[in-house]
Amino acid sequence: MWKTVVRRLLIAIPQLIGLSVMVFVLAQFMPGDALRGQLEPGMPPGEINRMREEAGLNDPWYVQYSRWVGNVLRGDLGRSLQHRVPVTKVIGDNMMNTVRLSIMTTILLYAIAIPLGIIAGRKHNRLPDKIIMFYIFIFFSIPTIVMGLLMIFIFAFHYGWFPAMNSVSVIAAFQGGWAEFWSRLHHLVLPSMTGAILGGTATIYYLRNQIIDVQSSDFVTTARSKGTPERRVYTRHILRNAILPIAGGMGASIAFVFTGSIFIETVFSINGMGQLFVNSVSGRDWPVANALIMFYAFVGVMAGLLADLTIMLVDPRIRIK
Amino acid sequence: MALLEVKDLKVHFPIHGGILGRVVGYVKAVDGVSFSIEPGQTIGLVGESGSGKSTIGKSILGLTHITAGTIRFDGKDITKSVRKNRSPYRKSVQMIFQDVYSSLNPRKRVLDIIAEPLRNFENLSKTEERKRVDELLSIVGMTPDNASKYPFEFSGGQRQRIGVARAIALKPRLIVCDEPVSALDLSVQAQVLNHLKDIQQELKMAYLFISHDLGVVKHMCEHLAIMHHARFVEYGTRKDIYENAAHIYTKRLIAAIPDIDPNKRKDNARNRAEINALYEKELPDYYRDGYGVYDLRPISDTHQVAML
Amino acid sequence: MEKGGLGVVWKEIRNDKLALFGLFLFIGIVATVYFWGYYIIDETQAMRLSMFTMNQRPSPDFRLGTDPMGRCMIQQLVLAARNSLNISFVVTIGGASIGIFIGLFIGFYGGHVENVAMRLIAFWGMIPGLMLIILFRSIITFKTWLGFSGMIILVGGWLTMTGLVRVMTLQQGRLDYVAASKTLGTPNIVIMIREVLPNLVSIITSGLTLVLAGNMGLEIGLTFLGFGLPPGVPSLGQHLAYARSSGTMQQRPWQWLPAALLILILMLCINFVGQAINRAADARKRSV
Repeated sequence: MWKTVVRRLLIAIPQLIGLSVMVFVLAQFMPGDALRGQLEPGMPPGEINRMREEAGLNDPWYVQYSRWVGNVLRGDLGRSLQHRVPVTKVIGDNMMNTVRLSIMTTILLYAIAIPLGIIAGRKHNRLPDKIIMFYIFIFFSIPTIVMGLLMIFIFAFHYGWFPAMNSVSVIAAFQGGWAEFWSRLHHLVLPSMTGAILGGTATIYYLRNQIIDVQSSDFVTTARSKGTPERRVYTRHILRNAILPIAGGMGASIAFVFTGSIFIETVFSINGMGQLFVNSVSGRDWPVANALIMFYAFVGVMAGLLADLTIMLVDPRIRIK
Repeated sequence: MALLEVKDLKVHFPIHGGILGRVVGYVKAVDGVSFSIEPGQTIGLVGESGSGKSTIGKSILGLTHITAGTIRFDGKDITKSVRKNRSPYRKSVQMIFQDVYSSLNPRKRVLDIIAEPLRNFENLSKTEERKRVDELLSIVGMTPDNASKYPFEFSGGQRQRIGVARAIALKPRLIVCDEPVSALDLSVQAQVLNHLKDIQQELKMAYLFISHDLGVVKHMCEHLAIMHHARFVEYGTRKDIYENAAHIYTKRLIAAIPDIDPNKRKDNARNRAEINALYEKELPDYYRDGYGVYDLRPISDTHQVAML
Repeated sequence: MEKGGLGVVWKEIRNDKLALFGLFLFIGIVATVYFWGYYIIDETQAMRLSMFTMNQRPSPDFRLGTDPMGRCMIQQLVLAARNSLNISFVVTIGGASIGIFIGLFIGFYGGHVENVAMRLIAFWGMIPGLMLIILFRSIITFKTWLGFSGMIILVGGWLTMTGLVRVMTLQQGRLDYVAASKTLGTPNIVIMIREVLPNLVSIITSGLTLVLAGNMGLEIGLTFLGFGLPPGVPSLGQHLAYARSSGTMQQRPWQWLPAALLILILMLCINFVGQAINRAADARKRSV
């Protein structure tokens, strides 16, 4: 198993390096001057050039690139051009919101998807299955943004049950403690429900089909024919086998939630990494944008690895290899 | 001059392993096999699954890479060019496949299937082409109205006859028959085999007949090669092999042929037990370290055996 | 028995009332939008700003009200749908063509070609596509929707189809009819296109519906974030973007809700049809 991990990581390293070069080169083509935030009107051109020289912006791209890589390896991702603070700090400030959102979404996703998947599978072709299939159909078709907007329109504006935007109310953040916790939770409901309902459709569908498949397999028939109680057939034989791929899909689904956060964060105005990325690209703040792309790619690689590992851990057939 | 001459053919497949997926070893599917086929001759290639007999057929058709050795056709060395799709060699050597379900493209009409080689090599008008296809169909005992049907409308035996019609379309001089009947019902097997025999006489073709079924091979071939562990263990005429088997593996194979006479059941069982005991005892004489097959050496004008 | 062509696809759709309904509704909407958008609406007239009719609620004059620039929402919606559909179709067809070609090629040849290609594709697939498109979009400004579509195709539009076609070609390539064609002297490129490709038709159509829905979502998302079509060009994403201001969302739902509902209907239609095609592509699930 460790062989697989090492091989996957070895393959990922040149990929990440390739990506970093690409992103870096792209950033060179970004219009707008990286220094524009520091410039003041009426500055003499010599002065501007001196500042450019100082910031290393006149060096060829590969010199800038190697300097950037060297810094990254020392944990220095550069300074944000917009916020004038280290990139790590900007990302750190925004990261927690995305992490909270992702965790909450993942929890809700499985809390919704697993029971629905099981019910649909067990009641295959009967009313509950048909209702759940219809549910899958509807929500599989809705783009995240449309769903988010409708959620806000209905539950925030029409009924007023939940806040429409931001991740915590100012007063609660000031109070801290439980008040802050509840406020954050309250703010998380709509965005994470949006993500969970949309992201869960694939899981429900998969689980349902798994259960239907496993139900008709020979070992289940054997278990029934030797008189195993129906409950036990489900818990020990069917569920155990049907849930395997779900465990495998966990990694992918976390990655989905993570990357999907760009839309959700924008719709719900949450200061997370997705919105940070959008803002930094609009603001030509390439150190931040670069770092975020690399970070997301890294998360993607890790999620893939995690997915394979979980499958290996739970599926003895794959473990042998 | 021999029609086809295969010399010291080797086909090895690399095994990848380790963290970087480097080649850690080879599967030797065919490991040093030589034989030749005269015009109009039928040679049977017999062996258990995995013995490499199909790989020999595939390498002659250029469907797999060749690690070492040479293949000569009509005296010309074609080892390098055999993998090219469009070469004159293709007109002379054809193949009949085992799996009658996957060897015909399900999306094509019988007419298009049989006409495929004609379109590649002969510039025929639509009517000429249709005439040739009808002829070919009648050679394999099918009526012209089948030409506009799709493969799924036919039974296994009919499908294989379509496969035969396609293979003989260019009047090849050698056909590699890779287990042509083993996917078919017993009742249909004889029908297809008899067609193959008749066509051979009519068109004067040579067959390389690959099979694991000794009964079928006996019916079809005057010369036989027995394969085991990627090499020939015995080569000879039908008589040499069936009445005078010299290699212990051949003896076991022949002892394993089922017999329908119930009175001989006990005799057969005893015979098999004896041969098995012999096999255990004499194994080192026939296999190097219990696995490697020795080089063939002649024991008569027509008969060769691989043993010490 | 084994058939993989459009005939089976059509039979599946015909037997599924929802899919049939979805197909006709989709074709109906698309035809209406194109006819209306290209032949009835005078685009320069429709795009003209009008200070006096800004943000009007629905009335007999403007059945769906007006947008922040005082233009008729119905006309805007038709133009928006037309542009969004244009992009979705072009990106889908363009991406699929490239993907089918690459997928056939690497699936057919296998071996080293495939190894190298798969490494490259894995590399490309690892990149967060959405972010990369955003980055590209911020560097290059596109004057027309065609250029924008081209960029989406190149950055990621071809990936899904490549993967799908590669796997299926790999499967088909192992079948004996491909070996037979080789021995019969048919050139490889002809085998790929004339022999293998027809067997992939139903899989490809099933992939197409998925990709079409995905591309529609992509255009909407990108424009919503401000990285899609230029601001002056109406598109469904642009209408949704009106709702980014909470005032518009609450008080002027006529400016964004119709677009949201239209998207929903179009997506549902595509997926209803896609579901049926999916069954046609998978022999085990086929109902006919």
